[in-house]
Amino acid sequence: MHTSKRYRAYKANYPLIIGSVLVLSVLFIAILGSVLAPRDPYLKSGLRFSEGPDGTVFTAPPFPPSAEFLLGSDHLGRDMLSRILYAVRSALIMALAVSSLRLVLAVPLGLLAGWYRGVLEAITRQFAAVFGAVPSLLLSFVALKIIFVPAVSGRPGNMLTLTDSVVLFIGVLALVEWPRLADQVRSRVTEIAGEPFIEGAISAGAGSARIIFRHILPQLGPEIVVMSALEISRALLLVARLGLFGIYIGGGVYEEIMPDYWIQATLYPELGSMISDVRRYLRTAPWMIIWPALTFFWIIGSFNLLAEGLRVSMHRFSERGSIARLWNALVNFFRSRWHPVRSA
Amino acid sequence: MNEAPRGGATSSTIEIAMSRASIPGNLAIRLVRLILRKMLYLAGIGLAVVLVSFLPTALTFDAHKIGFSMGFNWAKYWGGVSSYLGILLSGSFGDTVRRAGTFTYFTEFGYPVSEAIRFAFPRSLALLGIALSISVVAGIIIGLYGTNTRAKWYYGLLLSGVLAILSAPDFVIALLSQRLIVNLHSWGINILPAAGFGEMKHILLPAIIFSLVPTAYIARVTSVAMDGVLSSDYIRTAIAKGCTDRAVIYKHALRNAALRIIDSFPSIASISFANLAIVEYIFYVPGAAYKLIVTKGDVYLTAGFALCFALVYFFVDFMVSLMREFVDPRLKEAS
Repeated sequence: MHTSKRYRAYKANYPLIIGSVLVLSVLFIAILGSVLAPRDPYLKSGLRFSEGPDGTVFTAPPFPPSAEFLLGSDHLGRDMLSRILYAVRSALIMALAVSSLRLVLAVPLGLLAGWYRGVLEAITRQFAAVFGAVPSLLLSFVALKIIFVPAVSGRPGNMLTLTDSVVLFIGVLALVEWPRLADQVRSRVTEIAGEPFIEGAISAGAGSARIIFRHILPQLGPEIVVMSALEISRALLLVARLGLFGIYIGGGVYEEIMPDYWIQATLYPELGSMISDVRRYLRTAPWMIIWPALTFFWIIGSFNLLAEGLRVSMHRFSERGSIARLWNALVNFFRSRWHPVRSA
Repeated sequence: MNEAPRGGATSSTIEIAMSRASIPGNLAIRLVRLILRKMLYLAGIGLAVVLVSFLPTALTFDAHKIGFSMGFNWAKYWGGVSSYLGILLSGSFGDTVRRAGTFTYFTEFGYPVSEAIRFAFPRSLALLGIALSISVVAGIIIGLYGTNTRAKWYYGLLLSGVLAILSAPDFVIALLSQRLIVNLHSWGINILPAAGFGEMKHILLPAIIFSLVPTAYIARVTSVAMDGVLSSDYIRTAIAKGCTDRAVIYKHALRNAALRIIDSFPSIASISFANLAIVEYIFYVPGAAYKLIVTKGDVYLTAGFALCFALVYFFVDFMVSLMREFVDPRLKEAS
């Protein structure tokens, strides 16, 4: 630990390897999930009856895992496995959209604020403070509730369409957390702007635009890759938590099971909606909760691991250029498993 | 050290004066400046919180045959904001109002928001305080253990544990622990109550579950910071000088690593606020976040509670700045 870098033991970057494999598996399911699904995710099945020793036995929809429903069925008798396989794609697309929207908003502001300082810097810091002070979960909950409540106020013509609710969801989730990201970018840009090579560029006569695009942005690039992986996992965690409070895509669609018995359910296979009934079904039908939760854990964990592995790789090659850093991370991943220990 | 801003910005004298390098060494003057700057910051946060929390109220919906279109009513927005600011300036948080909607009929309404704050916030703050003190102690111990023992396996275990805790949907952990408590109760083992509020034992399980994520975060920050500090030159000097490991870790390294740990507190507070909603909802702690979830979209309540959350966050931020003033040895040298 206290010896110099040269004498350190060599060690594989396991987070990067495991994270990449897991993210590839997520992408595989996202692309081919609908092909692999054994049943139609929208197909409901009602009461079943079988002849037992004591006469006819009726079973009601949350069917336990069996040969027919590999991971069990939900409260409307839809196959959990098929719904999860379908839902991974929409969850991933939504997380990608949220994280890229956040980055699109945050990176330019952070760059300008970090370089020009002054009013822009003050605004960015203030924004970050405000959105850090108000819990993002509560803010998005209140905003989406206020938007969704008039939309599902019982009048049948007044339902949210799928497009509406996806756009609203992505917009709110992106707006709620982008100032924190902008502040992160800003502080990093300020750090880069203090380095000697920027001073060199200034004294060589480079203008602001040239310095930002040719000197700062390439330095920032790999870190933005790490940030986007982290943002994907953050966005998915937020989706999971909002699902707990009954806010999800296509949310608030009430389904009549029997006369006088309505339950909240959504048509679309969506991960957030699957854990919305966690309270009601954790005891009686735990498979309805456990599998979506594990799916969330798998996707979020794989992106977290990838981000951690990328961060370590970037850190190791910080002496070289940014493209060389990414290239080195990739080459080392494919060519050999041995890397120097993180120098911290 | 901090230098004048580079690049396109013209280096104004105010900015140079504000930068840390040129702050006069007198501690009292530094503190007064800090407090004044933070007061300005608090006013800005408050105004922005009000502006943000009134945004959703001015959305307008036009129902169509399928779906609806949204608009924004600027007159309603500024009217709401200005009336609320008037109420705030007159010294109260206003009264909760009844919204025209089908889902509000079962909630009580018309009571002053300050009443709700007085009942709800101490509970949340107690939960927050207990959980964060658990997580600061546990997190620093867990993070330091690796540097003490120098066991390589510990780093891998720490990283995977931290990533697992940060990736798992935390409400599932909370619900499973609650289930476990209920099952233990049905087997005749009464350790802790599964939910509820009123006594000390009620707050223990929520606090432990609540402290998981901050503990993981602090352990990670501590581990990374200590790792970074221990590979720096002055540590090698200290070892060469003949310091014991204990002295190196606790006197030389931890002093510098503490700065980074303290710096992470505002973001930990921000994460904890989000987790507060989950924990209060699942364990039925009738605190601030629970109240916000149960009353569906009352603007004055939301704005008042958001202001109080902002105040708590500001307090944490202020304490962090204050601690920096005392802990940072570079500031002491300047004086």
